[in-house]
Amino acid sequence: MAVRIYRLFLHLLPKSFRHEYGDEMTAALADRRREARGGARLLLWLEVLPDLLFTAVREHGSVLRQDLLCAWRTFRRAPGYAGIAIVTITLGVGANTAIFTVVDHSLLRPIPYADPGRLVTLWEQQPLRGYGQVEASPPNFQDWREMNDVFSEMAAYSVSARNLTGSGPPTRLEGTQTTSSLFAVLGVEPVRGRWLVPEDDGSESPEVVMLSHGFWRGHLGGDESVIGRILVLDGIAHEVVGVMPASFHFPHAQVDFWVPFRLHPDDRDDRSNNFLRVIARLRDGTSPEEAQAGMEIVASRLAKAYPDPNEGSSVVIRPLRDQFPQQTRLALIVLALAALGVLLIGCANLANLLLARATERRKELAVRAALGAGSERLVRQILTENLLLAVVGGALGVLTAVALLPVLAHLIPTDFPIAGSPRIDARVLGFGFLLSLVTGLLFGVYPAWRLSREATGLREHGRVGVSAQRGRVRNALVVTEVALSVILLIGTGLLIRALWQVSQIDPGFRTEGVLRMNTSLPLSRYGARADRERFYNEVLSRARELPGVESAGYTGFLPFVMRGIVWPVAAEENPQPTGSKIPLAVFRVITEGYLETMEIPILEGRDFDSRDSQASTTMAVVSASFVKRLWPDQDPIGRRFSFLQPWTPDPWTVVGVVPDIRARGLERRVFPQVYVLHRQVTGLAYHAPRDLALRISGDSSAVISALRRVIWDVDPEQAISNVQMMEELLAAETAGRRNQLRLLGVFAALAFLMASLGIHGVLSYLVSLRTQEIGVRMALGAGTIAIIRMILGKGMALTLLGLVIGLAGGLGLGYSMRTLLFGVQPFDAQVLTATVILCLMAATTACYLPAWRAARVDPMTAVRAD
Amino acid sequence: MTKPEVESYSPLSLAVFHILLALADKDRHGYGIIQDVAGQTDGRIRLSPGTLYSNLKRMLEEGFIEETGSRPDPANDDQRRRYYRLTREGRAIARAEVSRLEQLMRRARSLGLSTKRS
Repeated sequence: MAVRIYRLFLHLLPKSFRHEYGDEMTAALADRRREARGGARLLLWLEVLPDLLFTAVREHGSVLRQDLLCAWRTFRRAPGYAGIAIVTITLGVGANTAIFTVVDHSLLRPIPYADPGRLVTLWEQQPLRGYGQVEASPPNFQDWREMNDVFSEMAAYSVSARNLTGSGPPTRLEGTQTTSSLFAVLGVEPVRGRWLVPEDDGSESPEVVMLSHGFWRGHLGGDESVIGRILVLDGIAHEVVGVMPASFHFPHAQVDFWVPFRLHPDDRDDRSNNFLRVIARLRDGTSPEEAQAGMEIVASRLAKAYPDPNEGSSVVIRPLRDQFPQQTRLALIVLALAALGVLLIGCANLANLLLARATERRKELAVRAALGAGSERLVRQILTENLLLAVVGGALGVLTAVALLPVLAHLIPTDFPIAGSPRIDARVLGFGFLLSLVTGLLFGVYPAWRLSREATGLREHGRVGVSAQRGRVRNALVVTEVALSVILLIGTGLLIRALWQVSQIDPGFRTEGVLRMNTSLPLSRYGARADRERFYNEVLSRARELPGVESAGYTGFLPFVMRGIVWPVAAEENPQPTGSKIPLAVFRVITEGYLETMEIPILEGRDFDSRDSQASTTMAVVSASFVKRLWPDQDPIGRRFSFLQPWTPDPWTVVGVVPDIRARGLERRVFPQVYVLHRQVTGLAYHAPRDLALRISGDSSAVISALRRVIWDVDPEQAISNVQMMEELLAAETAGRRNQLRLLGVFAALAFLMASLGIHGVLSYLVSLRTQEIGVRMALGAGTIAIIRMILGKGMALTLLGLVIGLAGGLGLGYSMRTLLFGVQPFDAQVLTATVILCLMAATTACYLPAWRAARVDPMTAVRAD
Repeated sequence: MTKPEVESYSPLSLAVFHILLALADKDRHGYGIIQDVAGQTDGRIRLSPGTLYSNLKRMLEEGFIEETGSRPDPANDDQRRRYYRLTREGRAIARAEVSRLEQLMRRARSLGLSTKRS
């Protein structure tokens, strides 16, 4: 019995050792057991088993050393083959490790907050106003917080950019206004100082600020005594009370500061001012579904209590992770699949390469087998060779991925709470190593098994036949390669078309030669409309006189810069629109000169001019689609409309019509647009113009420094930020697509190249195998053409099969990524045709060399050779 | 074996040395070696099968020992075991090791470390 157990454990040893000494070891154990008595027998196990384990490790290590030495010698003899293998693996592992780094950083790694799986975001759902998911209003947020029993803590925040003055030149900082509960919700400790506390939330409390690690290090030079330091933001002194850790990015990576949320008295009761983002932590033991149900009850109570505007509204809860932009997620998945495709094609090529090498290694392996190596030992040795190649190639691949890090950073979205650039760490290295091993096994196991079978077959039977089965596997591999690369080509082609479509979109305004500068006026010094108006007038009049400046104007938000805030509108004749189709419009406050600068032409009526003063009728310039929505087929000039918002109750009169522009982004839905003149607008300080647009000619840097002087002459404490040409903003619109396309294009090209090499390799091998047969055919009268046709036919048959499968797969891929395909159908004739032509051309080229060699076969030598 | 070759194996591991000693006077099989080594060391060193056979394998490869074929085990008549014997090289290695140890012992004694009266 004990002996049987011992025999079982012997299987830990290498097979050859076990066969050689297993019986003797068992006998020795039996002898020792016989000698020992009672308790000593049990102690024997304690001695023998660790010894066995130790011996197993030692013996396996010795076998490994032998195999590695042998592998090294083999590669020295055939460095070309080893080189090809290593390069192929480097490309495959490198591509996948690179993409994994990004995917892990963005999608897989938990966001660095305490227990991030319990964090959710809350949104108002207002179907009657046409909002599926919208920010919360302050009173609603307060009520949600007080009336719920499913969250342990809830916080609200909104973006808040401020001008920093007093420490260096005035700078514009990106920040967040938040309730003090935010830090309790996220559960991240500051590295210095303290969190905001409820006492800071009071409207009479001293102004305090928390800083981001990046801002503290970068702008304040890592000042050791930063806590208690005073920073002047928008003219108001704030005391620094804390610094957050370097890994903390909330709500995204560019945030410099957090200040307590100070509610304007007007906003306190306004339930239709939706601008608060809400984040909450689920109570222990509460599931998201329970929380959703609980909040729906709260929402319905609020809807009853405040029917206007909460009627019919509800609450939507989403896990924090879902904030990740869907498009980016899909793009990353496509890239990951592409990288995997490259790896698989590489493995198929290597497997074929190995099988082809069998001919050369047949003798060597047969000798080994004759010397007593069992098939298990041969398999092990060949596998060790392949794994060695895989590990070396994999290490190089990981290094390549590391080198590509700066490029990869472009794939990370900027509006998600993670760091802007991924890092290579143990996880990534571990992935690279594991992938190398898996790759080695993938392409190595089958050839190893076949090779050893062949070698032992040679030993037993004296000869080896070219089995039809091996040909089938080889052909299947090639067909798979072709199919995979065709799929990749189609995917790339479709995305290229989509990018082209997007870049063809006319934004609707002039982008060349337009300079942009942001001068956000802080409310503390520019709370009065007259003050702001004075600033604009002075700056604009001086700017227009500068050499190189053709025209200038101010706007609240430039196109592409601001993407949100649409307001429902109603024509005067139809003041209470009902139903789900309330028209929504983008609202912009501008000064004179803006429309002219952006070359947005007046289609009907007129632009704003001196007639539109503070005291006269409030005029608006609207876009063509606005007219189409509100007064189809009617003359809009002189008609009146209102925004359905309590703070702009007065009606506006249409004075001019302009074409629609792509205000919210090239690819986004176009909403009707309304422009109003700043001096005619009361209140709405948030929408006050801050983006200065100038049409310039000549050298932009000269104009920029002149403008800075102009602005600082008017107000030395005004921060200037975001100085750039509109062309850069436009380019940024397609930057994401271009980055993805670059990578995908590289993958597709690699896959295509490798697949072509694969076809070439298989056909070359075929020719060399069937040289004798070809010779016979030629001797029997077959012409060169017939031989070439035979080889070419074989190659093209494989290609066509792969092509057909690949086309089907490519259509499937196109369909599943259709949200990425702006203006392109998955079944795009141009892309498919181009792919087919490319594929056939490459296949013909790949077949050429082997076919030519086949035609050059000398029948006499071929027939005689054996 | 020439002297430099011999020296390249020195110092021998404990297990190898004891196995050489065990085979010095007569050929033995695996368990016999284990028993003899136990006897050499008053039971303090009991070789386990794993250690024994992995060392035997190595010593076979180096040429210190050789198999003499299998013979019936005197203690257990119906079992055939493989017997091992020292080769000339093995004996040379053992001698070299002994002389190295003797040198060490002489030094130890001169320092007054030996418990034995010389």
